[in-house]
Amino acid sequence: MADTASAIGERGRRVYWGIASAALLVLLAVAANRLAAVSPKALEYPLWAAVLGLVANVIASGLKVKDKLGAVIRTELFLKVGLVLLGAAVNITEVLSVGVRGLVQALVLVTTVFFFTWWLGGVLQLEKKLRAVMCAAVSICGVSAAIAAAGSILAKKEHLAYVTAMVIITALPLMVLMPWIAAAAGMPPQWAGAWFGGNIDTTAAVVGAGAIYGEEAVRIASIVKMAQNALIGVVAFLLALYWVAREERVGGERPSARVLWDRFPKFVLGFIVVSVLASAGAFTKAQVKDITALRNWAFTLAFIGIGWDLALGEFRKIGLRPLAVYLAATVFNTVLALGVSWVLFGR
Amino acid sequence: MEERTLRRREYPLLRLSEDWWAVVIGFLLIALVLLGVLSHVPW
Repeated sequence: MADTASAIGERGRRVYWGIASAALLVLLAVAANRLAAVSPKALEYPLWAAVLGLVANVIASGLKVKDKLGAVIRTELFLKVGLVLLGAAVNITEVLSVGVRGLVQALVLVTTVFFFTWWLGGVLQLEKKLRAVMCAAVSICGVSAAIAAAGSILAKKEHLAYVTAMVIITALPLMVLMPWIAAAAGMPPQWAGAWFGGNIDTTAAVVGAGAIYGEEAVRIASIVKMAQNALIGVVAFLLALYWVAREERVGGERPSARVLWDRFPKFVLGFIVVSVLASAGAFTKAQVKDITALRNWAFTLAFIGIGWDLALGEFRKIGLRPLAVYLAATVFNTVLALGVSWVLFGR
Repeated sequence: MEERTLRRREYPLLRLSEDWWAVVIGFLLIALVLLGVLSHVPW
């Protein structure tokens, strides 16, 4: 009898804390959404979500209720759901409908910047997983690419938080500086838009820079950015394959197909299937908008979880070398994008 | 030492890994959008 009462009491407590945890998560997600809506364009929701998660982390830890209050926070699950939904935003047909130049620029920039950043990260002896997340972020499109890479190779949460912060913080000055430089140099809108799209690391900042410079620049910047975004799935797939086949090898033996399949992150396949559906025209514009909103909510929940789990001591261990690599890679990307976009859009 | 990496997990229900649950949930959400059950999602 006493055991039954105790079991019921324990179950009741779990339900109570589960509801409290869910309520906290919803509150933080809505708060992050509101803050992102009222702040400068480049200070996007992942940053706010992570900050709010961190604040909740500190308060809950102080009150010694962190374990109980974190009952429904499932960072990895939210990230992966968001990544599956991200596929709807990757429409290869739409990218190709305006010609192949955007795709060519994307292929050249993503490949070159990825391997340059990988090399530079190696020179400064960065951890491999951090390097991979950073390479994806700086070469492709910032936060979504960083999330996809982190999920593919099971990076540390601090790696993802660190790279996300760098992406968002560098996007803001670039959003202002690049249109100013383009205007001062008298760059035509097509060339300027291609340059913005090929360089600035968040989609919002790209559109912002294009909007400062004009309608035609917005159009070209958005298409070039979409072409780069289309490569997220490819890079995530290849990274996952490489990591499972080479980095996670046990005893120097080549992993079998079975092992490769077991370890391969299946959500990448979900992303690709959704992307194929989007490219085949399975979704209307309104449906893509709704799926994108759901994706943003999923990522918001994920970044709250990242802030919730953050250990600031891990950031101190990471240090400032990654920041130096990221900044150098961004400068390289900026100069290379200027040249490539001139060849394809400026002549 | 606490594991700090993003983890692979299994969930007891249907013995699906977290990756497959993400795919199931993602597809379910998309299906709800296509069926009109979820529309005008605020953001």
